Amino acid sequence: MTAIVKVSLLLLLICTGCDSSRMDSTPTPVILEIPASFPVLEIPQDNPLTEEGIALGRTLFFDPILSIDSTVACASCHEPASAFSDPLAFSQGVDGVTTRNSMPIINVGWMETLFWDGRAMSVEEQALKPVENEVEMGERWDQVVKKIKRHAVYPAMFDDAFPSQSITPELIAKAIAQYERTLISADSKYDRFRAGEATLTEQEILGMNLFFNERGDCFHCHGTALFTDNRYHNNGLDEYPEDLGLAAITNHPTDAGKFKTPTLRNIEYTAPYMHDGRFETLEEVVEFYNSGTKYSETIDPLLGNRRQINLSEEEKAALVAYLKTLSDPGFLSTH
Amino acid sequence: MFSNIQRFLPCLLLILLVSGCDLFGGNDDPEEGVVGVSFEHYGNEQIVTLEQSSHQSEAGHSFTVTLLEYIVTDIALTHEDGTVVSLKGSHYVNKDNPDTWTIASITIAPGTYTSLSFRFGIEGSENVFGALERTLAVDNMIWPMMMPMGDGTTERYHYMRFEGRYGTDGTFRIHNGPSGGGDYSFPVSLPIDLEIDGNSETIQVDMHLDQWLTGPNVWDFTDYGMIMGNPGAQALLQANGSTVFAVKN
Ligand code: HEC
Ligand code: HEC
Ligand SMILES: [Cu+2]
Repeated sequence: MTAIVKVSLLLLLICTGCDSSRMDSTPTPVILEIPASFPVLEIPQDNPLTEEGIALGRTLFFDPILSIDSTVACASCHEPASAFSDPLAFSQGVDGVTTRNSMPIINVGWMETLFWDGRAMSVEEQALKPVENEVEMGERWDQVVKKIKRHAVYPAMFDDAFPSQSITPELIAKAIAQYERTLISADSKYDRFRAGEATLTEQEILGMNLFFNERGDCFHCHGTALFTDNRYHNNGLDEYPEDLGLAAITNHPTDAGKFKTPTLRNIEYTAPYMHDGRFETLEEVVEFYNSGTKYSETIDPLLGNRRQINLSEEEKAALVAYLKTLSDPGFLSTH
Repeated sequence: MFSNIQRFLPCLLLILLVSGCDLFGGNDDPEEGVVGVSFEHYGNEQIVTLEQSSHQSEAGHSFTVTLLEYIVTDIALTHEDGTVVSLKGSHYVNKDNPDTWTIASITIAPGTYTSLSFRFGIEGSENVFGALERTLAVDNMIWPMMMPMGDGTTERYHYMRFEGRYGTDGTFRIHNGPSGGGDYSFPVSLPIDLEIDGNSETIQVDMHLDQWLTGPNVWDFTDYGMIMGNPGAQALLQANGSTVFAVKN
C-alpha cells in the first residue's frame, strides 16, 4: 500500500468514527429544579429540555442573525440587566419602535398564554412571532433558515440538540423556548424571608401586609409564587382604553382594556411600567392604585368603582419597599 | 326419523335453556359501572354565561358574573347499605375553563346509591395552602394569613371567588373562605337515585348563584364590599349555601 492510501484509509476511519459517534449521541436531558413555592411546571412532550437545546436557544436568543439587517436580537429588547425587559417605554426594533412596552421574560415556562393580550398559547408559539414582525426583526423565516443552515456553527449545534431533524422555524422556536424555560427567578429577599433565611424591615413588613390584605389588595391578581395570576384584567388605567388589549384578540367588547397581569418579580428592574410604559417609577404606580384608577364598563370588580384606598405617605413608601424585596439580583447575571 | 327427533327434543330444549340462562346471566351478577360528576351554574334557572347573562338578586339588583371559581372536597356517593364510596378528594371548578366542569368517570361497585355528598370549601384543619393540586389556578385560590382575613399563622385557600357587576356601575366580589381562621365550609348532601349495573352515568350538580344572595339571608351588594375579613358575612353566606346546590334528576 502506498502511503497515500494508508493515510486516506486512516482518515476514512477517523471520519466514520466521528460520524458514528455523532449519530449515537442523544441530547442530554435536563431536569429543572422547581422552587417548592411554585406551581407544577408542564413541559410539552415534544420539546423536552436538553443541555444542547438550551445552549442552542441561548445562542439564538442573543444573536441578531434573526433580524433582517443583523442589528436586533431577542436580547435587544429583553436584556438580562433589565430582567429580560428593557428600559424604554417602547422598544427599538429594525424599523421604528414597538407599540407596547417590552415584557420581562421571568418564569415564562409557567405561563399558559403570553403577550399583553394573550395571543400566544405557549413559549414555542410566542418565539415564532418576533422574526416576521415588521417593527421588531422584519425578517422572513425562510431567510433566517437559510442563514442558519450556511452558518459555521449552527448546523452542528442543531444536530446536537435535535439529531437528524432538518432546521425549521419551529425547531428554532423550540430551542429558544427551552432556554426561556430556564429563566427562573425565585431567589429574592422575599423568597429568603419565606424560607426563614432573611428578615424583612418593619417598613417592608408593613408593605407586605398591605399587598396581601384587602386594603392594598394586590395579591388577588399579582398572587401565587409567580406574582401573577396569568389572567387578563382591566386595572383601571383609562376610562376609554385606546389599546383594546385582549378584546382585539377575542372580539368581545367585554374584554376591552384587559391586559395580562405582569409578574412583580424583579419589578425594580423593569421600569417603565404598564403595557404602554406610562409610569416611570413604582411610586407613580402605587399612587395610581391609591387614587387614580378610573371607572369603565370593563374595570375589574376587584378594583371596583373609582376605588380610593387612602394610603398614607408612610404606607405608600412601605408598599414600594415591599415590591423591591421581590428583586433577585442574581437573576440578572446568571445567564 | 320421527322417533329420533322425539328423543333429541328434550336434549335440545335443555341446551337452549342452559345457553339461555348464560345469555341472561347478568341477572345473577350485577356489574360495576362508571360514574362522573359535572357542574353547571344557574342564575334564576338560566344558565350563566360569564360577562353576558343577566340575573336578578333577591335584593332587587340585576347582575352579571365576571368570575366564578370554587373548590369542593370529599366528593362521595353513599350506597343504600350505608357504605360511602369516595369519588375524589378535592376538585376545583372554574366557570371560565370547561376542563374543570367535570370529575372524570370512576369505576364503582354495582347497587343503588342514594346520595352524592361533598364539602363546599375545605374543612378547617385541612385547609392549608399547598395541600391541594399545585396548578397555577388552584394556587391562585390562596387565602393569605394576614389579619383580619386569616389567623396570622398559615396561608389557606379561598372556597370561592364569585365576582361580577350589578346595576349601572356597581361591582361585587363574594370571596368565601376561612375568615379570621374560622371554618365556613359546609357539607352538602344531595339525594340521588342511581342504579349501577354495568352502566355509565353522569351526575349533574347545579349551583344556583342567586341562592347565595338569599335564603335565609338577603344579600344586598351595596352592603358588602370586601368580606374576607368579615366573619359575620361569611356566616351569612354559609347559611345561604344550604339552598345553592341541587342535583338534576
Ligand atoms: C423590538 C423589540 C423586541 C424584540 C426584538 C423581541 N421582543 Fe419579545 N416582546 C417585545 C414586546 C414589545 C413585547 C410585548 C408585545 C405585546 O404584548 O404585544 C414582547 C413580548 C415577549 C414575550 C411575552 C412575555 C409574557 O410574559 O407574555 C416573550 C416570551 C418574548 N417577547 C420573547 C421574545 C423572543 C424569544 C424574541 C426573539 C425571537 C423577542 N421576544 C424579540 C419586544 C421585543
Ligand atoms: C384586578 C387585578 C389587579 C390588581 C388588584 C392589581 N393589579 Fe397591578 N396590574 C394588573 C394588570 C392587568 C396590570 C397591567 C395593566 C396594563 O398594563 O394595562 C398591572 C400592572 C402593575 C404593575 C406594572 C408592571 C409592569 O411590569 O409594567 C405594577 C408595578 C403593579 N401592577 C402593582 C400592583 C400593586 C402594588 C397592586 C396593589 C396596590 C396591584 N398591582 C393590584 C392587575 C392588577
Ligand atoms: Cu379574596
